[in-house]
Amino acid sequence: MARTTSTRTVGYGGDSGSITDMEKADLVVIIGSNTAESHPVIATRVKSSHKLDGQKLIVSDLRENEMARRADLFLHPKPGTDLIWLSAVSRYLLDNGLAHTQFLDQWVNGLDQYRKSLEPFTLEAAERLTGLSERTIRTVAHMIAEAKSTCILWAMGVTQQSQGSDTSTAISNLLLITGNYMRPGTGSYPLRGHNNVQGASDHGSMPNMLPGYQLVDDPEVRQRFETGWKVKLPSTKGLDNHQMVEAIHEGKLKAMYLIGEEMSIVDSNANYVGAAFEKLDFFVVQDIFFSNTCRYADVVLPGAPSLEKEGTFTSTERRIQRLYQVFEPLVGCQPDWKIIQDVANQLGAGWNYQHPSEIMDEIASLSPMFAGVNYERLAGYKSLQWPVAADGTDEPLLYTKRFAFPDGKARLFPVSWIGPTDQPNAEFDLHLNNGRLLEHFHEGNLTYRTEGIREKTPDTFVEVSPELAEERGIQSGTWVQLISRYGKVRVRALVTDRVHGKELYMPMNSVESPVNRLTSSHTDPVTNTPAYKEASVHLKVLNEVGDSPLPRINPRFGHPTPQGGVEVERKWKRADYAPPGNGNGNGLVQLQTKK
Amino acid sequence: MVKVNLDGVVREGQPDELLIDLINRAGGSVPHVCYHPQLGPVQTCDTCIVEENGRLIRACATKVADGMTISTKSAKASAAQVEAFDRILSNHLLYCTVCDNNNGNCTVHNTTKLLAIEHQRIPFRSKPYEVDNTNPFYRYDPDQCILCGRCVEACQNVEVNETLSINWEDPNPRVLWDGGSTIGESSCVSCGHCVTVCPCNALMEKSMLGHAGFLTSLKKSALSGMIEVVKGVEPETGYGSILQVSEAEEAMREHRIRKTKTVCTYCGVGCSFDVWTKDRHILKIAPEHGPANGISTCVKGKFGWGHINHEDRLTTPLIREDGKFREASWKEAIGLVARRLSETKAKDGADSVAFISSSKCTNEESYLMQKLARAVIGTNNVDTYCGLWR
Ligand code: SF4
Ligand code: SF4
Ligand code: SF4
Repeated sequence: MARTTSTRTVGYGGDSGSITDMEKADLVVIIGSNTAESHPVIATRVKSSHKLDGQKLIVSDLRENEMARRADLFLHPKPGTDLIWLSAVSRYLLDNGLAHTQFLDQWVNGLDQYRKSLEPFTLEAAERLTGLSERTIRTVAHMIAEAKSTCILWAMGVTQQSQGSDTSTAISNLLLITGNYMRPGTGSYPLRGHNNVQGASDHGSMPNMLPGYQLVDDPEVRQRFETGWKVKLPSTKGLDNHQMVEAIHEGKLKAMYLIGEEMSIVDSNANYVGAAFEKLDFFVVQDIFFSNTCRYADVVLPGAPSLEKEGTFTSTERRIQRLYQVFEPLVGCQPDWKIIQDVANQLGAGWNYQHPSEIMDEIASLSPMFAGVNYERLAGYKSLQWPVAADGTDEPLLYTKRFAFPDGKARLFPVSWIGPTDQPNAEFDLHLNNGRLLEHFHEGNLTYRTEGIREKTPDTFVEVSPELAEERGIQSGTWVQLISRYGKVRVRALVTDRVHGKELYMPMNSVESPVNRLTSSHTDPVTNTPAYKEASVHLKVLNEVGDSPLPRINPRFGHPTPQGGVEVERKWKRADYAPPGNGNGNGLVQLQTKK
Repeated sequence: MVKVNLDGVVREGQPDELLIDLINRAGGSVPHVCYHPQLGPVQTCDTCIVEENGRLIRACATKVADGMTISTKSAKASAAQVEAFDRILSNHLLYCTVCDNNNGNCTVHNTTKLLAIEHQRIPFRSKPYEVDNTNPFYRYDPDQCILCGRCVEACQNVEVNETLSINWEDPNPRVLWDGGSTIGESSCVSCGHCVTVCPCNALMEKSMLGHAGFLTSLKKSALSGMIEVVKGVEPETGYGSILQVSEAEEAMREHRIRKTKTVCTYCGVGCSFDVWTKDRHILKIAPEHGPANGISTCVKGKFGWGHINHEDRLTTPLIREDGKFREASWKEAIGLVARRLSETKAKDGADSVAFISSSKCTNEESYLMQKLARAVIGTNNVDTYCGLWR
């Protein structure tokens, strides 16, 4: 959880700046994020600055995705080793006097301990463990040292490793020693996947935090909420989603109420989760479609999609924005806030919210972080980036005056490398990576219902490198079975040089053959985020060849024509072009007008 | 601060500000077709020509400088503006009344009106290309394309998918996908930038076609008949009266087209846009003012709304009985949920109950879900399914 990692070093759990900062940065480093497909509009800003404004771009990924192809420097480290090269870069910078000493002196605690922790991360060790050459790592270091401002963007390729939060911390450490906080064009950007992941945790969907990141075991906090809500509150930390699944298997958790997540498919180790749901005494699922998860339910409640309700979402840049109701809910459905209120009232709660704005007023009254948020200030296209002071002042760029710790200083937080969990061996000899496709959202529950999207991207597939395809006799369309230590799926192959060697990639757009049947339930010990990205598989070629899983009309088969823009100079060179008003020798009133 | 004399009035501008922006800010009425503030100067349309010390310049391509004297209305400037626009009209048929883009925001229509154009001198020339319908979401009509290049600029330098170009050297230039492929087989990722910025009906969302206007759902033969009639009338009456008819029709549209701001339901970028609707039909997604995205979207936000009116939508609560689901009333379903949750709590304690909120829910809904868990059931067992990293 980001709240843990960036709260380790700088204070708040969220992007430290805005999309405009990514746009302005002198250097952008993207790690484990297929930004062009997972955060398409953020990618446009980076692509544009890179193409037009001389912004530099470093990409570290297993897969040669679009950003990697555009990058000035593409790093392809061994799976799960980003922490190592990041720490080696930090060590190299400190050792060679390239760190930002003045910034460190003024704003950062913990340098000595941190330096000590970097001891193992020599260039030699990094080369051995990551597969990146010493020279490459030095180049990265110099590019960061020379850049006037650096932003680092990362996503699931980092966080869904068993050491995801430590890698995130290593990123923040590196930014601190190079002085890349507190100024426009700098900072850390752990990009949020879903439209409202940020908002869900901001507003207390966390077992240890009340809304506004206030700890449940802090008596002062609890008292404030108890006064506001007029109840006595539990003081012990609850279970997170993975512990919930465990607790069901152990017979401790009996009833669950779940809203709108295809948890049984998108969760890693889908089989294990499904088995847990079967064991529940009582299971309520609220969704807009009869999802796979609904099959396990005792009661299914029809909620409403975004266009049928009012409310606010909070995006990756901590931006709170209002959505207005476009349509009445379909007859029979209800906005989720009304359903929750009905359940609460049936249980005797006596809530009386007439409109989501009243809920937001309550949030603002109980969470200092949202003190100044109200629907007036969010009217139309107005937005606020938290924290929002009572007078409505927000913070597009965090830490401009101080870091969010009592002494105002940031903290270097030592991390060490343990190594990934689910490693290839002789039997499971291939590394399977996974992620999103531009066209589909997650498993595709929503997006498959748009015909044009289905037409262009009808099915999932596994990307196989040309080398491996050659070796195993695979072509695009060959059916293969992928077998991991946890499960198996049948899927068609797509041969592409986006992947290399023995690394496979499978997008998550499938309900029938979800990639997460193959992944384990190992989690990051710090955040319990599942290590989705670590899976080793055995590939069995089936004796069956179908059509390519991606039809010819998929844009990945196109041939773009990069050029400077519209290139109007070419128009001006045409023989039949003369600037208007200057051509044909006179003042030229050629049109009849009423003027 | 920079001082510019604009049509005899001294205006203050910012250093580096484009002259066109200053003129617009000052409420001026210089036409401009290809200029879009989020694209920057494209310089293809030539309609924003103004006079500076006797010299004709493009207002979009000129930065304000201290002491500039600008006339937007001089005979020379006006003549150039009108000539430029005449050239544009040779690429475009004004059949506004039966056009789905006639919604008050068509740049070509509005510029025709602004310049009070009555007749065009350069006649309309059809381009020797078919309409391209091969993308599921939008279509390109070369005959209506005024070659302003906004779409190319958006695709090359805002979206940076680099699919579009214009073959300026060709006797009949047009917009090209991948240098000459069909749209369907090109590298186009259907992000919609080009359609969003097209100042006329050359690029249109298919969801608009036949739906936005009162007369636009006519059969093709009838439609071309009407277009012929419009063309026939024009030499007699001039565009003024044609525009009047089309504006009456446009005003009627106002009453049935609703525009509602929303925020995208998919990824964490937080794009926001207006949703244009007619009853329960989504006419189009119109991004422009979103603080995170401006004119930008990806395919999901621009076109991925098929789930909203999908026949698979759940529309009634379901209760499992003897291993099968049956439909139930809200009263019964909520009653059952409340009863079973309190029974479980009574028997095994509050911590035997858990809540999982959705990262698709609104902030207010997430808040209520955890309040239900904590304040009503009495447990901290509440999470979203994915932790924070997705
Ligand atoms: S939809 Fe997007 S990618 Fe396709 S041509 Fe238009 S701007 Fe380019
Ligand atoms: S398609 Fe539209 S935006 Fe593109 S050049 Fe033609 S008129 Fe301009
Ligand atoms: S339009 Fe695309 S990039 Fe923008 S929020 Fe939606 S899914 Fe994300």
